[in-house]
Amino acid sequence: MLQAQELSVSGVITNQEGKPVNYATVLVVETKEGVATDENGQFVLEGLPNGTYMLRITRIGHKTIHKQIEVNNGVSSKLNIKLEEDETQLSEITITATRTSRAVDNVPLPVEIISEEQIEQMGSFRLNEVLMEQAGLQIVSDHGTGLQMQGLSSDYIKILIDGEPVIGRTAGTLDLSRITVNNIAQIEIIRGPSSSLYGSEAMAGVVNIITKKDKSGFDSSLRMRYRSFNTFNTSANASYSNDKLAISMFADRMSSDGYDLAEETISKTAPPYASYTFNPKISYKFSDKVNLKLNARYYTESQENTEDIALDDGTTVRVDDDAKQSDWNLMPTLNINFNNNHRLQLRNYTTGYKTEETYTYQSDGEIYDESYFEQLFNRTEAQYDWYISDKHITTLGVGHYIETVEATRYDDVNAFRANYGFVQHQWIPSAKFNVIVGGRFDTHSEYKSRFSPKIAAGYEVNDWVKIQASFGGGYKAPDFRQLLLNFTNPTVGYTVIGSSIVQERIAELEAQGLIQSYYMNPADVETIKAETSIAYNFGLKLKPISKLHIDINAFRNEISNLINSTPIALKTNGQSVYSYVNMEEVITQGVEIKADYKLLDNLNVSLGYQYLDSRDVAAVKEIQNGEVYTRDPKTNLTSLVTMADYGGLVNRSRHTGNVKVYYYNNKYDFDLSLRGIYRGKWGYGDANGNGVVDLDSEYADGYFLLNLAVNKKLFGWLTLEAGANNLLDEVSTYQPTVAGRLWYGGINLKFPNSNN
Amino acid sequence: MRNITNTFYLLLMLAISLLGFTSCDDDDEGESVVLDLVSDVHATDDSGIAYFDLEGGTTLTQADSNSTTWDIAFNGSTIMINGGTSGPGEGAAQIVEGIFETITSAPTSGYSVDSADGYAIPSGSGNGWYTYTAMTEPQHAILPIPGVVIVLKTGEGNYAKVEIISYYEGNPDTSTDEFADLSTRPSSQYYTFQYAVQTNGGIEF
Repeated sequence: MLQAQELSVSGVITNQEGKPVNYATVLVVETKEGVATDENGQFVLEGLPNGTYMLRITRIGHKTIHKQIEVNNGVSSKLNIKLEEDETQLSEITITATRTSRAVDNVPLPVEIISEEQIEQMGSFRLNEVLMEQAGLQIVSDHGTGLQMQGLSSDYIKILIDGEPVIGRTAGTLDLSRITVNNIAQIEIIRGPSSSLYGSEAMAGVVNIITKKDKSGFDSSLRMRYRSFNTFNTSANASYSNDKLAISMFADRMSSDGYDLAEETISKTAPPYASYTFNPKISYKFSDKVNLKLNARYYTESQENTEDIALDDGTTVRVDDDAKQSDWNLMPTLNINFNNNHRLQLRNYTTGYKTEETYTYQSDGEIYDESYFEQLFNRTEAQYDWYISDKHITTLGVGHYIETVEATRYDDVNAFRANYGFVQHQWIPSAKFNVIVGGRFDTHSEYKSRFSPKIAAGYEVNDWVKIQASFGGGYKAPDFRQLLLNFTNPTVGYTVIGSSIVQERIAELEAQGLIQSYYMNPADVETIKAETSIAYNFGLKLKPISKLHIDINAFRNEISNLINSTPIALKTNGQSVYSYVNMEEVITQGVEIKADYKLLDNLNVSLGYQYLDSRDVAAVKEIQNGEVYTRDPKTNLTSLVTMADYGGLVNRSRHTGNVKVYYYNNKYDFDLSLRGIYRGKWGYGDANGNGVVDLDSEYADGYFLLNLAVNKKLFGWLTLEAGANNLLDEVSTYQPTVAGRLWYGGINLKFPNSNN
Repeated sequence: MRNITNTFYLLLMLAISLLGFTSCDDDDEGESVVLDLVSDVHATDDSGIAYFDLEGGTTLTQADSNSTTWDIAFNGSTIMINGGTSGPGEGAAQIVEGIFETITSAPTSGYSVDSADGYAIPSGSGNGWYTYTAMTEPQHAILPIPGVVIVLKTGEGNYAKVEIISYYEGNPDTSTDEFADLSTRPSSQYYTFQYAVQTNGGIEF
């Protein structure tokens, strides 16, 4: 072929309303070469010799169309192609499941997307409020408002903002109320171990919060809301974007007077607080191939409470508790698209988390206790995606991170270093069948290297049944607390020592004459290993009729080397010395069902349910061997615990579910949502000293929350919102976030875009 | 009423276990076993300690503390055995896990005596015979750990087994609101327990 005869074919793809369609794939059937449309729906096919070609245009959520074109000498075609939307194909895009953009329907993993629209309709303020309404997700209060997924607690769930991990956990819990939902474009939830891509902590799954993208031109919005307990939330966003530059600033303030569920104590259940979030972003497109983004976040919260502290001599003192916490991050990302088939992403992520707590005597203002905790994390990562063909996508990544902690409860500044590499291959042999294989290798300065594999496959049996199955390994690294904590409780007198320093600290305590006796030989306390898991997920996606979608996912997680604290010595003051050991084996398994039915064009009903079975393998063995006893609280008679009495792990509800109704009124332009969330009874602890949940009194009562939200649009740019959370006024002392009815109301202003 | 019912249940269980014992044991060892259910053993003098003689089935006071007659003593939630630092007797004890009725013989070794380092039956929640509920319901209660049976040598050297059933007056139902409420909860330090003691010097109960 002669160069002169090769011409370019360009065109624009629009939808029925005439709006440009981005990310549509235009494939030349004969040459198998394809390109994607840009933000303006435009595409250019280069280097096509003279001839007749068939173009295949595909886009998720749209009907595939074929168009024949002719390329003649001297005539370049300018095409204008309209795509029709296809209800049955409508699918969201996930970036989290494979670290590449994929349609949720084509990823063989349990992926759930919560859209900006849904979040706005719900009227939620913070991330915990959004997640608690999703089937199979549970909010558990333990040193903060944490998440539970597939029966695994907050320690085992990685929370990401724009793909980067949020740090700052207290006793393993990452407090979700730190995260505002006002700048969220979508939340992606991947269930099942994702350590093959995300490393430690991604054992139960990953929640990725994708913040809003900038719209073109000047854009701004303001949202102000009030809720019971004098809770105010104001957020504002302003952005400017053109072909090359995008710049935006988001700010959010939230404050509350808090509430009290136990009025006999001076201390409030939820103390008053004020918090601020700032999220500036800038990105610049150097060329079609290279762009640079810089995201930052700053969060600060201060909280005040008053407490009565019991002293050894039986008297109490009243102290004021002043607690501050903050986190910040800086996230530069360089994207290089060498061509449509090769993409390189270089990211650096630096983040910090800090808490400071001061107790002062109310009587004289002197300090009773002061503590701080400061964690820093820096990660550098390169990811390379190779779109080999329609059928093969390979992703490679390498990274390095360093993490330091400095705190009152730690002796020195402690640092961890780690390196990792991951590889993933997506194979899509046909429209009906696709496979993902991947793995990640982590090396760490403090514990043994770890390989986390993953394999997943999906198959479309017919046009209404899809099956998918995945297997993966997850792990969670021992944290600073478990390795290096050196803490003696100032009021009670017990001591907790991290496993790396236990020998030397015990020797010191012994030398000081503080050890009475040993429960175990301190030399037998080994440095703890990472917790590991293997997990299976098996799912069915059914569309028996076009308006009904049913998703079923069965799961099983087997966790080994669970880290737990254990007493190792008795101190002369009668209190124990604790350290951390790898002990337990735990299994969580169950099934999750979601059904979505479009009753009318403007009325949608959905149901969700999760059945969960959780068990401690050692406890089950003891019960089966007839070694666990219980006492009937009514008769005080002793008997053996049977498997039927066994309540599994604490804080796990066997039955949870929800029912949601969404209605949109076209005539008066308002939407209404009513959501019922049920959590069945759950064991909260052991009251009779046999180490397992078996008595009725060891369960917390379940609850049913009914949430209502109404949004009324005026003038297109102003939305009035009002509603109530927990309409039935439920209160649970074992779940402090369930604290009675909350009314709210507010306005949401989206100022007309300067481009329109 | 409920307390009476509880006591009735326990007596019934004792009767059944006695019947079971006598029916399947055809030598006359059984007749040397004293089996009893004792209710509301409580300190009556200023010492705050209640002493109990298992062979005789009687509650004693501090006046008898220096004799070998008493076998087990209750001081608040602490249990003492007549031996070591607690008394002049041959007493020693250990915890055996199981259902009272199914523990049919005493171990021949593994006994500890009360000493300056600690009691044979360790004190403290979860260490010995009880658990302290703290903030779990019923709050701030002392409940006997199920499956804990104290096997001991009496002051006179006989083997005995003891199961503490209740720490509260009248052996109450601990699942009621009345028990949960600290203002209506029955008084503590009233021990209800069942025991068996072999008086012929053997280890079978």
